[in-house]
Amino acid sequence: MRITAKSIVLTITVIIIVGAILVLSKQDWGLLSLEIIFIALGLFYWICEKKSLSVKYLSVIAVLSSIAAVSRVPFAIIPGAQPTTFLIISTGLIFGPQAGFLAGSTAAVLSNFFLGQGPWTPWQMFAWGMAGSTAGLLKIIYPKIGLKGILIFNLLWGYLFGWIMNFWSWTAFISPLNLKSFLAVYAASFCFDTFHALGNAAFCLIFNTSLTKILMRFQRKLEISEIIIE
Amino acid sequence: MIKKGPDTCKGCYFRNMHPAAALVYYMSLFLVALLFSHPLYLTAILAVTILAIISARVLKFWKIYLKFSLFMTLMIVLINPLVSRAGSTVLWSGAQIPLLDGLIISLEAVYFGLAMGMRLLIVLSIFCLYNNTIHPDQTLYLFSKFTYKPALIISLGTRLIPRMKRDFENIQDLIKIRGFDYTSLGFKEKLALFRQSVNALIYNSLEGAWQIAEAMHSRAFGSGPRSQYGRWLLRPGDLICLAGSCAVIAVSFIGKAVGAGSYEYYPKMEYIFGGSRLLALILTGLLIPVLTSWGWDHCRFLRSRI
Repeated sequence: MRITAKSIVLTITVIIIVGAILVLSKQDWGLLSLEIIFIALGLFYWICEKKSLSVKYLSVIAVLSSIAAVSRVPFAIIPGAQPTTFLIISTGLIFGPQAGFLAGSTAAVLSNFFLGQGPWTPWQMFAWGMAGSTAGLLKIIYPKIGLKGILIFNLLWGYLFGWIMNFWSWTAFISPLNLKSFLAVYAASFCFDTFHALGNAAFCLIFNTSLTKILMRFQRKLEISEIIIE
Repeated sequence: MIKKGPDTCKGCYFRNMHPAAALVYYMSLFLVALLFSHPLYLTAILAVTILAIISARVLKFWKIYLKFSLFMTLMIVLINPLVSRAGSTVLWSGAQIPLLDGLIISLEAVYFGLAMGMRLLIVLSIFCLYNNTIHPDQTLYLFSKFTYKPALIISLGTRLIPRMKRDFENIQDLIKIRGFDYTSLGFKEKLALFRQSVNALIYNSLEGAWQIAEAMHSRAFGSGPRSQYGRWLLRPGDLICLAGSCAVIAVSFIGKAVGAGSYEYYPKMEYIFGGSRLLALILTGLLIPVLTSWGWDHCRFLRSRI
């Protein structure tokens, strides 16, 4: 990706203008937090748009995100437990932070085509996108991370995902915004978050070894044959 | 007479709007609902949203959303009075609950909780409208103009989902043909067999991804700037709705910046009918698509013009 002076100036100008509007309009945190999420998603997508990505890379991401999305639908009846987070983390670990983010954010949109789009969609896009990209970063920092490390990371994201999702409910619908109200909102979702974390751990224990082998094979194939598009 | 069934809203104006006009309208409703916590504003926006839902003929789907949102709304209505101690009209106090250091429930906090419950209801109703009137293809068409690679991934993913379902059924049939019977197996064996089926599905799907990429490449995908066409026309009615929605967004932000439409619940609730001039302006803009929809349904002349 070529980062030109023009694009840097443009990004900074956009951030300053948006920031000024947000500060001057005296908004509540509910709308502000949503706007920050949209800006973050927009910047991620803009970076992806500017990069030269191969068609094979794009179609592999499409397949992985649709697997992650489909896997969410049959588990929708069990609150919290779903293999989506585990699949996105695995994608991030093998294919890198960018692939992890793209797979995570796309899986949220795709699964909500079936389960219904809502105010939760951008938050899910962000949360799963972050799960995927932080998994990619984890692999860069600890290249020899074992099953134990991945298991803990999956458990952690079960809670983190819920906490990110709760953030909007807390900022948009609760007043005053203090530690007491923060804990009350987070306590209300603790059971669901625990189900999510335990589900992630279970899926990781069952599928991690075989899934890693499959994904590693395709990652190597991707390195060998690439069709770059502009 | 309105046709009953899943496609009730097919011929309605909201389904025939340009996706950009519809999306900006829903966005204006959403922004106004989140910008103002004034109970009068929230009630008026809820009324406009319900009118839009009726005009779009998605009342049946809205009832499902109502049932679904009940738990979330209840949680918000209950948490607010429990955590707020700012209200001056105390209704009940006394119980010692961990983390809440002496429970005080005030009338103001109850009203605030109800207002926030109403805000959530508005937000969910807007998404009910969006889900039932804008097809995912239309959203993708809009976003592909700005971020076509993520839009491409989403459209490829959408196409792959039914194929995956079919592939998984084929794998299950193969397992049965090979003589494995799920009902006669123990939990461990069932789990192992399920894991193998899932692995086969993932492997097969990723192999399919290669074929898709090669097929796209052979059709010159990525060889140069891509062509694009849109099936949706921006008609006069769409332009009016778009202008109205943009005006609503601008007026709301300016109004909020100068302090119009602000409302204090604590320590004592303010007079409810203050700042209604801004509300009148906002409602005028928000009612344009509802009125246009009425014209589309009831007046042939208007329908031909919009």
